[in-house]
Amino acid sequence: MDHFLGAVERRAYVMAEVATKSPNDALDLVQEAMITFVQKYSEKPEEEWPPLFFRILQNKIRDWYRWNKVRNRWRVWFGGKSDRPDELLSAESFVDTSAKDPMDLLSVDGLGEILTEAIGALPLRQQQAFMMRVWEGLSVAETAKTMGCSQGSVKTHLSRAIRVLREKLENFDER
Amino acid sequence: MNDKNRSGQNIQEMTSEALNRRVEALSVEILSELEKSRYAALSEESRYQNRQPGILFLGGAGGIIASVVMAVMLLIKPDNQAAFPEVDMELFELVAMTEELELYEEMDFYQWLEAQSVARKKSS
Repeated sequence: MDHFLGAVERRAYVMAEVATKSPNDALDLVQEAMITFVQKYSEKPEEEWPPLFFRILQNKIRDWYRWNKVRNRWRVWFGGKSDRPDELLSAESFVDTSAKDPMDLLSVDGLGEILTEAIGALPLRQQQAFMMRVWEGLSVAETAKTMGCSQGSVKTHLSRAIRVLREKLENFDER
Repeated sequence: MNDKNRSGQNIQEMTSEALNRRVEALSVEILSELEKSRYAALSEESRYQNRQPGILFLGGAGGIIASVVMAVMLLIKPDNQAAFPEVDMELFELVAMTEELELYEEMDFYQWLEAQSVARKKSS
């Protein structure tokens, strides 16, 4: 169990941080996911641990989104400001715009930041589909179980996520 | 179509690489916090495994907690004082139901896991 948690904790943290844009909230979510996981599933076979753990993590991220949505509504109603995550940061603050070929920008750290921010700006379901299917490499079936939806929904969310990311990259290239 | 597929594949690779770089660039402070979280979870595991048997089960952990709270409030409430608020039965039922709701929501996932286990046993 120690080895498994040690192997997933960093990626889990990045997933949570991209989703919440808050290092403290991300750390809390990862810890909660770890505790829930070992309490409920430590006796399961090891090959079942990855989808189980990421399902718990994604559920906690989803709950965080819902809780923040309610909190922001209350704040707006009472005349306060919303804590909505910032929109995609301006590319000009990061990247050398003289490079025209997007592939050349791989050598520029700013592109990574742009793409990571773009993932964070995706709707939650598209973000989850991308993280689980593309980054973690789960199968469509495993991703569907992790997200609690059908395999068709996974493919739909993923294709939309890729389209949005491609459009953002093309928009950046046109600057 | 081929260009779109290639472009789509490149986007996935580029984004995955960006996320991998983000993982590699995590600060010492964040890594330390993650390590603490891991140890906290592992200690929770050993504590959970060493729990005493024979606990009275009242329909799940939520039911246990709610029942204990109810019992304590009724036992310590003085007869001649109205200092303690009335027990909100709706809240009591909601707490008791929480664990059951999670079980129902996760039922299809448990069934899939079971099917995976059966399939593995058959293939081995």
